Amino acid sequence: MKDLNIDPVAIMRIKDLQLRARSIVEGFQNGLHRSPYHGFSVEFSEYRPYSHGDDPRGLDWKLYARSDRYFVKKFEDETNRRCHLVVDQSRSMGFSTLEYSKADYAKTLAATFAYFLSLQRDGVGLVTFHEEIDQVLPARFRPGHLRQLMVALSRPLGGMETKLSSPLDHLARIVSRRGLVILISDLLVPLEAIRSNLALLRSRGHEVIILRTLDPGELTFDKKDPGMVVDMESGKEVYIDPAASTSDYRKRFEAHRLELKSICDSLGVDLFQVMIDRPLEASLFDVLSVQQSRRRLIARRGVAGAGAGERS
Amino acid sequence: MSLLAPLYVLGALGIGLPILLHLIRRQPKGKWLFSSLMFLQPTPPTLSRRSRLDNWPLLLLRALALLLLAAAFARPFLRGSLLQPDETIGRRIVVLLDTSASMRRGDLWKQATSKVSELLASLKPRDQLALVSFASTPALIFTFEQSTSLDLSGRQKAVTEVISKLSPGWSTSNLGDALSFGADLLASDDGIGTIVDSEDGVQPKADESPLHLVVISDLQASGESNLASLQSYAWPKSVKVEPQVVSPSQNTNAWITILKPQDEQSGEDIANDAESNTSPNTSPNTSASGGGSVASGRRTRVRVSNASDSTGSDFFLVWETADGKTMDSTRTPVNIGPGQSRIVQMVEPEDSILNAEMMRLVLSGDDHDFDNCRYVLRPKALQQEVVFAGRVEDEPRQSLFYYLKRAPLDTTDRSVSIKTVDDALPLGTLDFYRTPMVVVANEVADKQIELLRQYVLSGGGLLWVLDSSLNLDAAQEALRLLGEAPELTVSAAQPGDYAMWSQIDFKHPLFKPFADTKYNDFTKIRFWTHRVLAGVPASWQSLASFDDGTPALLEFAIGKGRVWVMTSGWQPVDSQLSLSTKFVPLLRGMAAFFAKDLTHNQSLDIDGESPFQPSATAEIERDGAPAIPYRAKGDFASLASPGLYRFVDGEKQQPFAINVGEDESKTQPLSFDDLERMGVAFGPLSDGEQTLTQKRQQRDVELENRQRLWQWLLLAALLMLASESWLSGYMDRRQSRVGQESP
Repeated sequence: MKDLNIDPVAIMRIKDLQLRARSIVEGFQNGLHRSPYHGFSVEFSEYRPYSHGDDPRGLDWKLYARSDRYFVKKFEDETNRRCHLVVDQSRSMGFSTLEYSKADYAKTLAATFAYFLSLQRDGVGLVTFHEEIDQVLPARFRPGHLRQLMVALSRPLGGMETKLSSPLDHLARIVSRRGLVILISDLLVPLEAIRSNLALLRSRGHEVIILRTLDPGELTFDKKDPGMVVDMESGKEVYIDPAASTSDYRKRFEAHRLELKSICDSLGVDLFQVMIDRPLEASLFDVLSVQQSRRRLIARRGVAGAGAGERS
Repeated sequence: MSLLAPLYVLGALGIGLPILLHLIRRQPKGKWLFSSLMFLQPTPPTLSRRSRLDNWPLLLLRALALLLLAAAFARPFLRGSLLQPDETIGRRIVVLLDTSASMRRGDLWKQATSKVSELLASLKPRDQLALVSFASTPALIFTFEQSTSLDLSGRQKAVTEVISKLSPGWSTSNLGDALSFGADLLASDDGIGTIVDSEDGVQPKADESPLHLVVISDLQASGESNLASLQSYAWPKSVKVEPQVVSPSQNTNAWITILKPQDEQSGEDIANDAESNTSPNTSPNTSASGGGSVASGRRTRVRVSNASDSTGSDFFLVWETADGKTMDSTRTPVNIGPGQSRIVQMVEPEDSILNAEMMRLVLSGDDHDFDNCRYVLRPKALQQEVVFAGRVEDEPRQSLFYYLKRAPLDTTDRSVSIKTVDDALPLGTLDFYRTPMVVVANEVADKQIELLRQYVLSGGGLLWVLDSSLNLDAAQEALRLLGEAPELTVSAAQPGDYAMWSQIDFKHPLFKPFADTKYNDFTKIRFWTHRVLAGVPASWQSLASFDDGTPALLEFAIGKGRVWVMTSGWQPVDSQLSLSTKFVPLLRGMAAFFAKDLTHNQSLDIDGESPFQPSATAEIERDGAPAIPYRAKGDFASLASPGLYRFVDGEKQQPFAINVGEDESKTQPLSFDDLERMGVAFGPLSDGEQTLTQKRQQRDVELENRQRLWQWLLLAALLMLASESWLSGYMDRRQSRVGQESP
């Protein structure tokens, strides 16, 4: 399967975001045919015996014809779910040690999800943010919406720093119906605020998936010479001697990651650490497989949110 | 120890450079962006070995070498090995102070004196000063000798005193003369210019001391003669002119020039005027100002000019009496743009109102009144008489006198009457001043001929008419005697029909008015009879001849006067001359032949030459002032102010006016270019310091050249560098040896 993945460098060379997304999704689907899983939202979920007060529109008349019992088909409502893509557009997303930046990767990822979901006739919304909310597109499925979304994603990076609280808070307030929230960000922020915001979203019944895009360089911090390091967001300069700082950096980074993981675990949020040198469809696959397994878990346990955790 | 090029010492600062480079905190070379500093702790900068100074001896050697190099380039030398020469050089300054009439404008004189005071205040003890005041001629009023004989304060005091006595006069300025005078004074005055310094015996040469010509003037453009003398003057190169221009706050200046009446401009005009009076064809020359032709009163032609830098253009002209009474009725407005001039006919007041011989014409409306008043003479008509010595016939056709009497010989300033004397001329009364012409047409006794001769000698005109009634023998004798022409014979001619004048000398003043082709036709005048003169001396000039070749009008001079001999009468018995239009102009020309000497130059420029002959009895009077004796021409210069004067010599009286020169009124500023074109060199009045500094520098260079300390310093620097090389080499070798041993 790995061989079938398209090199992300090649994908990133495609200028048009929609074309890029389509290439990924098609590639993914090509691979998917041999996969044991077949989507999640189009799948039939369950028949439930009709009880008084149920919407008669949900009745399966064919089954009634066959069995003379009233059953309500549940799957249609779930497939038309709403998914909100929350994309970080702060400066730190512009960091790159590869040919493309985290922001490019994040955009492509978001576009891929949007394309994929719109193929499934799911409503896709978009919130881009930096230190404040940049653009908000409500979750819809209608002709042209995808195009609008792509355009919104194509805008260059705007703000200075990352502030997660306002977009998440905003989402929690405006999206009344439960849905899927996919947060694509590097999450290089203090974690205290994240916890409360994620908790709020979760409490509203949203499923939250965090795709943490990271550059390989951020993980290792493998500089050789001492020098001034400039913060991309604040512009602050600090003299760093890698010889002395690297191990400390890795330690702190790891601590941050673990703390984030524990937060997500405790809140039932799926956290994926996506290295941007990784093929995009692999990330897509990860997300979908998690969804799939969760669905099974739900089917098995009837408990939502269980089994959530970091996968990469 | 002094330095010739002290700026090179700054090069010594170079030694600080390596130290500075060592001590500057090294900025990290690399700088890169990173997504977040969250996980990064700043590394404290560490002090490396490189920021410490290791090789003190090397650094010292290099610094020393640099210092020595810098010192060598600064070229030091030791002062005091030579005697300090005298350091003060006196300037030689000639101050040209304008005292012309235009300096009377506004506060110009005050400005000028204050400029002199400023100059005095800036004088140094060694400076020499001479003061020249100039108007039409320059006058040295404070000499270099006086300057050197006084100390500084005494000099200042003396000059101030001289200046306080000075005031602007009325003369026209002549800047050219003054400049060349001042330059000569500066350039040639070597003996006085040398300062003898008794203390050290050093004598600055005259050519070393700066020569300055300070011109304190309003530098007006004036007339052409202003700079004329500079044209042929070679300007000495060492003399620099510093103009210190004083200028009034307001510039408008207009002036008036009294023009001569047109009929006095030449004898030609007289003839033309007379001719036009008698002929129906009015000559274009006849103007309203012609004598007697205007009934309303005499007019004076006045040219009013406005200076080119004026701002105003409206002026008034008014007549005043000599004692200042204004004739308001004559007030005339004139409008003239700047730089333009205009001729105005000023009607003189009626004689009944003002019967004055002298008047003045006053212009008002401009800013400066020094040239606004023009003194004008209105001379009473001179009473003259033409004496006719001949028979007075009753029959007009035979009478010369009949026609002579009727010829109008008056002009604007002369009234000429005709007097007849029968047989004997009045002895001793003939004066050419009173009697401009004597006409003789009779036998004259020998004694009287001598009288006539005296009269002609003193400047009279004698017309001898040989008409048909004359006794030819007597006339021949008389003419022989008078003209000293023993060969002369007079006989009667026998023309067949008639004779005409030909070969007329139109170049002669008498005939010049007829030279125009309109008037030169004499063929209509027929002479029925005439006399023939033979044996005419060569000195006699024939002005006209008859067509048979015999002289018709002859002229010869005796002394200042002239004798004309006419060989025909003009009465109709003899000829048609008296009936022709040529008769009156001819007679007027004779009567006025010497009149110009009497009337011209009534108005003189203040700087003009005297037209009067000085004599033991001559005096010049002015109303309300004691008469000035006029013994020599130079006495005339003492008439220092414009006004109306009277020249008196015995019985003879001649009023005249003195006015400010017209050139002086041209107050627009002179362009410096004009002066430069004449070769005048300008230069600021240096304070002597500059020359002094130059001299000092020259001496320093000389000293330094002699001592050549820089060579030693350079040698020392090279030594330092050599030892530095050796030391660093040595240290390198030692280090490498240690390096080889230690591993």
